[in-house]
Amino acid sequence: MDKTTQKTSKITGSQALLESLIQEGVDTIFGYPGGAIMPVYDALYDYKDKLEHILVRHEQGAAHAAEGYAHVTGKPGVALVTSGPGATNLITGIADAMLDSVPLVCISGQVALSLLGTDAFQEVDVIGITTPITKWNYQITKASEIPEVIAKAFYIASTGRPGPVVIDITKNAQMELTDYKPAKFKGIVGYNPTVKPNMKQIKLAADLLNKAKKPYMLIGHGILISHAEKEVLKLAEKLDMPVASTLLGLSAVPTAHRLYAGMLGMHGNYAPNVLTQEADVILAVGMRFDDRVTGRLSDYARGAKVIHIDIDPAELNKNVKTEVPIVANAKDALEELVKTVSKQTHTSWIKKFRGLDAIEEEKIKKKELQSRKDKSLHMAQVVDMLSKKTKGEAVVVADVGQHQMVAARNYAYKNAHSYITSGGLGTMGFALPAAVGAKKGAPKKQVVAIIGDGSFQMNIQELATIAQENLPVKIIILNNNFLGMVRQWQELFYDNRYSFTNLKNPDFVAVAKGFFLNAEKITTEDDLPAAMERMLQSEKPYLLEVVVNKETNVFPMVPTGAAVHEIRLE
Amino acid sequence: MERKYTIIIFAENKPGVLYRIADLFLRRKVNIESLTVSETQEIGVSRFTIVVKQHKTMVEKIVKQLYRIIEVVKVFENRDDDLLFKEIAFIKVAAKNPEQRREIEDLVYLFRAKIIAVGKDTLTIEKTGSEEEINSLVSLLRPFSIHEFVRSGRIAVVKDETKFEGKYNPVPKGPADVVASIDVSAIKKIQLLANEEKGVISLAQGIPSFNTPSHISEAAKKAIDEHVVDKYTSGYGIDALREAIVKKLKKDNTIEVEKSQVIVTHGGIEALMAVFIALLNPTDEVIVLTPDYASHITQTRIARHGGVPVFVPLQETENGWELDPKELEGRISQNTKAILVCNPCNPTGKVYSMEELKAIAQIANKYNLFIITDEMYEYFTYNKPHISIGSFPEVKDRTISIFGLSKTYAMTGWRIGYIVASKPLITQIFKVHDSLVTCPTAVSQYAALAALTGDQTPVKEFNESFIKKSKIVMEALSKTQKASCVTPEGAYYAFVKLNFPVDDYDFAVRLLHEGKVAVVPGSAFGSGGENHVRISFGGDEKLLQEAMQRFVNFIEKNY
Repeated sequence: MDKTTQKTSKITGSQALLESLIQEGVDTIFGYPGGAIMPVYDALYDYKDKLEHILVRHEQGAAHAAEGYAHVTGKPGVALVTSGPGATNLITGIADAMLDSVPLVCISGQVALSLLGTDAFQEVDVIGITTPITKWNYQITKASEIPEVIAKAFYIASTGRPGPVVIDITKNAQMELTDYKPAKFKGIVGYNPTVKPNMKQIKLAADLLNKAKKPYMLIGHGILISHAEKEVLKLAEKLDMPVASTLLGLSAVPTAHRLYAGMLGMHGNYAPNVLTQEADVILAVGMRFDDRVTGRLSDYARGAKVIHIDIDPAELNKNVKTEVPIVANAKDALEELVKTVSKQTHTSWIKKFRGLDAIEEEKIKKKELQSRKDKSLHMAQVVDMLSKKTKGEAVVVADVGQHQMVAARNYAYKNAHSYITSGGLGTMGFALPAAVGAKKGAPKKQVVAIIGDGSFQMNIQELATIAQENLPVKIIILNNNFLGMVRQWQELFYDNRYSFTNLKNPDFVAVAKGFFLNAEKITTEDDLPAAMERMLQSEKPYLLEVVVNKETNVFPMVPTGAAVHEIRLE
Repeated sequence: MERKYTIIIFAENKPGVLYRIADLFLRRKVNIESLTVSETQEIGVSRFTIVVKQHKTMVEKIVKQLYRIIEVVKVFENRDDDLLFKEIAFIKVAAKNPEQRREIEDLVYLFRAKIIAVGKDTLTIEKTGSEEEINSLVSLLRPFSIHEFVRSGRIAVVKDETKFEGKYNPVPKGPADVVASIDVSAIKKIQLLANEEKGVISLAQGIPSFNTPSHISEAAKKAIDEHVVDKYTSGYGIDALREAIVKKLKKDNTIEVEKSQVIVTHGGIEALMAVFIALLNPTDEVIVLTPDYASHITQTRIARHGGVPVFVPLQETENGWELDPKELEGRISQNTKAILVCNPCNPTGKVYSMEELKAIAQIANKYNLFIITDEMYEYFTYNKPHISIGSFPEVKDRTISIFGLSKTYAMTGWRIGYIVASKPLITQIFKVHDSLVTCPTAVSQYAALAALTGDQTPVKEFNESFIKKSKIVMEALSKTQKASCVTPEGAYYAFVKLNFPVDDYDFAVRLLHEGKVAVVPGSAFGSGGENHVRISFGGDEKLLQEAMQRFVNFIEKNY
């Protein structure tokens, strides 16, 4: 006799919802109450010991916090909001999760079934709005649907290529009594992600890799999602093959590893971009050849035969022509590949990478990190110092802009899931709430948000969440009083016409103090070590504002429309 | 080059699917030339027929992305050569005088169309055909002035008969609903968890620690060497064994039956399943006195293709678990077919008294019910004698008694049990038994024969050992106020009540991980089992002592 058939009793839809969440292993919810979700919040009052609710200050914050939580834990993040504006405020976060394959389950209240479609107060067609940006969505109008729909939502959000799911629950469904029975997920007719690779394709891939003179592995977010970090290294080491990462794949391979080539793409490293054009076999795993990675597509990797492994069949042959497409979970496919390939060495090929690395070191890194006469700071010095002081062990949550690229390039990541950012959507305002979620999901880790002065002001209200929760999140504002990345483009491609990128900022330290948070501001190189030490040692939330050079550019750069080998070093 | 493609999509018929599909075309700014949606031969599956003019690569990308939609089952893109396709059009055209009418009628004839309505000044024409045929008819009708024109859009089937075979099978066949709804038993789940975790002592499964007595194994070896076990035996079991069973029943159970009233089975579980299948219709109800062995509940559900049996919870009192006959009688309905009595009971260790059994017998007679027993632990009782309800003359024809050798002789792996019932019933039960196993394992039957006819002292020793172990459990529990247990009267289980509010399943899992002891959550045993856990004390004595120590420490520390 199983437990599930035993326990049936009448409870409200709201209670059924919370029970279902617990059943799915949820322990943390990011949310904001309001009229159409009040029955659920009322029920939540009695579930305080089982479900921790983090009260954000804006629903967008809830979505990003849930994303941050999902990134570090691998579990779906849960956001709970009311109807109308509550739901529409989530939209940016949902779209962000869709593009970055982050598992989210967003639950929005909705007006009662009898009011649907009447333009009732705070009624908006959430299903209609979210359809293009969700993996799945569903409107619950009866309490009895709750257990099964929630089970399905979590299954869809977290399996295959993960993504956001929106569940809209009408108020009557929250209040009705129902015979609650924990639902078993029964499977979906049209949804059955292929996890195991086709062995024929694996053999073809192994043949190509065994014969390759210049094999090259490109990894993306899929490695982190499927926890295939070990398999990547095993394969790379067996084939003596350099590995480069996309922005979202960062931290899957330790930065210091012998075969790690660096980051791909527009602001990636020099060698991995240039040598893409020299590789004869490219093995791309869990990445999607985004336009920021490929540059001008017609000239991308022309000399290479491409093997592409992805769990989403729609990604194969979408952008880059693929010799051997393999639909599979990255970990499963790599495990098979490791078994199938034979040991190789590619010393001179790897040397090429090191040669180009030296050029980048000389032309860019050295300059960025050296002391200036006026002791002013470059963003890279700050990230470099953070990297050294935290020994590469922190979870870095970066926002969007120049600082994001600097954080990606200059921190020496040691552990998987330690670089969290908004990649596909490029959402400014992501980092502060995402850091809240990351800290909740990984309370023992040092979580450091690196944020530009522009991005910081986009979700600045979440300082209150940090203060209320007393979450020891560390915040570094790299302040250049500009929307730096846009300004860089204006300088390089728009003839120095700085159209509306100059920021007159508030006193960030005073703002933080207004939220009762510890904060300080530094402006010179000399003050950096001690200030950073104070921030890292603090057991409380801490904001460190670092004033950096106003008009520095992030290089290398593959300009829009250029091929990856046309990457500019200055 | 842009060409005409017909994309056929099979998708679950759910709200919002059309929106999701249409949105994919919208995102890539691809115009849909025509769209029809209809039912298919599969209930709950819709067929979308979408016509677009596009490049092949674009169509291929859209097809792949269509698969991303959760509700989409299958997608096929087709060129016109691969299809049989048509659409239907209605054209209402002005026909003001007989001459015009005639001209129009001629066109209708020529195009094999139909006039479906005749108005004062109009004719309404129906034309089924290809897009081109409809277009040319319309262009010829245009001079007459068209009032209304509507067309359905293309519907199409694929010419190649083999194309959908094997490929299009949208509803994967699943197991029977009742089977799909049954969870792995809590006992097995906990045991699996226990196997994964290091250093756990398991008090979960009811396996005695003893070996099968050697004279039994020797008899089996001899039977193998003599090649008497090489072929099927009688489905009822070998004669000698059934004769031994008849003698045993008379001596130990005071049940007097003939050999023909006995079927030897593949353990007690097969016996029960055969009886349930033989007796129960899907709508029949079985009364289960709970807490009760979880497999009984699962078995009756499978046999009846349906829901849970009717539970009559026993009362947990200081004197033990007690049956209230009024409660039992109150649960009887027109559909009630049988009462299941597990005596001595797993998991409570209850041994039914003469009064209780007489009350059950009386109710069974009053309402014309079968009594099905499970008496696996008949020899393991501690102060109270075990009484077989099948020995009561007043219910001998309606009682199906089930016994087994697994526990009595430490023979759980040999799988031998037996069914005793009236001749008419046995004949029916035999049909099921024959379908399930043909005959019980021959070698085990020879072992069973040796067990029943040989030295019975091991059984007494086992019983003494269980009495001792039951004392270990009770003594350990006496050291805490946070758990209590009705003294077991038989079997080798203690059904321990947790004197604090907790979900017993969560408790068992936590105890396993943190306290390193595996027990079975009580709610697995039907109503009345909540907030209890079952401890099996059939195992090794030292381990039992250690486990009880851990159990008590764990609850003292954590609750």
